[in-house]
Amino acid sequence: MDDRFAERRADVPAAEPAPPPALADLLRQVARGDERAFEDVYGQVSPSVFGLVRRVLRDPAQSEEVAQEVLVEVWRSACRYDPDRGSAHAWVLTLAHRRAVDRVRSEQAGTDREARAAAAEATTPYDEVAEEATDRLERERVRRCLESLTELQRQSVKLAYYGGYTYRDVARLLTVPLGTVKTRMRDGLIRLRDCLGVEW
Amino acid sequence: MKRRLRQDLHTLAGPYALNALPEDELRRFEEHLAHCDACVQEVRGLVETTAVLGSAAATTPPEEMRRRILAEVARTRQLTPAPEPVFITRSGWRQKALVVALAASVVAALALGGFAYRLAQQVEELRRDQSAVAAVMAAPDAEFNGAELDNGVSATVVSSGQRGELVFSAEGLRPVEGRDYQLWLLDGEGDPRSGGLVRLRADGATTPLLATGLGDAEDVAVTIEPAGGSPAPTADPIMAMPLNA
Repeated sequence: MDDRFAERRADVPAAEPAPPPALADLLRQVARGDERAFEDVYGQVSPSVFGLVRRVLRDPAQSEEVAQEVLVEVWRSACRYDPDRGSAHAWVLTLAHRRAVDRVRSEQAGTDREARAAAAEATTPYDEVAEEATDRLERERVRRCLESLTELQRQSVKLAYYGGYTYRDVARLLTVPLGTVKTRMRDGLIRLRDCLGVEW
Repeated sequence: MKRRLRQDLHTLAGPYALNALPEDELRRFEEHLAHCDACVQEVRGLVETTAVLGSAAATTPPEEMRRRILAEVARTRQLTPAPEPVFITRSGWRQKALVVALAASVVAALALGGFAYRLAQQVEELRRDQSAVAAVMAAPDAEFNGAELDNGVSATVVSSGQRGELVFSAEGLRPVEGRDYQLWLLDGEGDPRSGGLVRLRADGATTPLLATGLGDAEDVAVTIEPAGGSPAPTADPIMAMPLNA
């Protein structure tokens, strides 16, 4: 996903060969209205955007709609990407996650969250995630790192990120105090960050 | 209580990076971020981590989606680069701040009649506000300063050296998509320090902003920053005024 990650992955064969033009450079070209560069950006980010949005929303048609909004937003606001603030991939995926989560929360208002959560819990996370697009090794690495978390850390992180729940919802779903969930989300992510060798 | 609150805020870095904060807490945390470089650093690392989780969910989208998106892109106008990437050195920034301040006070002097009235109204509104704000207003050494720009924006600052706090409020600011107004406290050298994010209400007035730890601040300034604010100003101030006019 990012050169700096690839470098640190001495123990695992490079999962994603760094694509020739870096995403950040492509975004700079896109910001100048370069549609060809946008096609390359699309090639690089659309599987993660679509996959993440679908993971959160679950409904395929709705996911396509939201993924489309996200990618058009990438085109529209490419000039707002600031490399000093984070990687280009993280910028795009943050846009994607926010949109997906906004959609979930606006629809969820008034529906039974607990029932939905039960459905979310019932599915096995990785079987549904795994498809041809990402490299197996990369997913394997993420899975191993997720497994290194405590049960509560892992559930908190996954329900929030893949389930689109607020930490308050997560606390209710797991029947643990709010403060505990906040802390578990933070130390879970920190552990994950260190396990994945993410440096920023 | 204060320390507790701060600690509490810091743990929100996790939920924040996961987009798991409800609206009200999101705002509070972003305000906190504007003051806390260490938190900004941590949040960055955690956001990069969530991006790896996102990539792990990658799935090939239908080919049809690509076609639709490229077609929509071809007819979608892009945003213009915001006045953001103007990185100015500190001294340069201070000079600009002072020029704007000067302009603001000239305008204020010219329009004093109506302005004085609006200032009085803003002050009145502040008085009715929360206790922390009210405490600044009631401080024996409270100083009132106001400025009005020719674009209809007016601002009031009430500061108390004894309390080391000030209250900033403004009217007529328009929301800017994906941006926040941020208050800066400038010391005698013109070095800016964040005073927090300025929250706009629907009517264009701001929620009174309480800035603490005034220290040796001599001027205040407001810039338009990327949403969530910046550790240091990244744009020219839209207004500035001295604390002791």
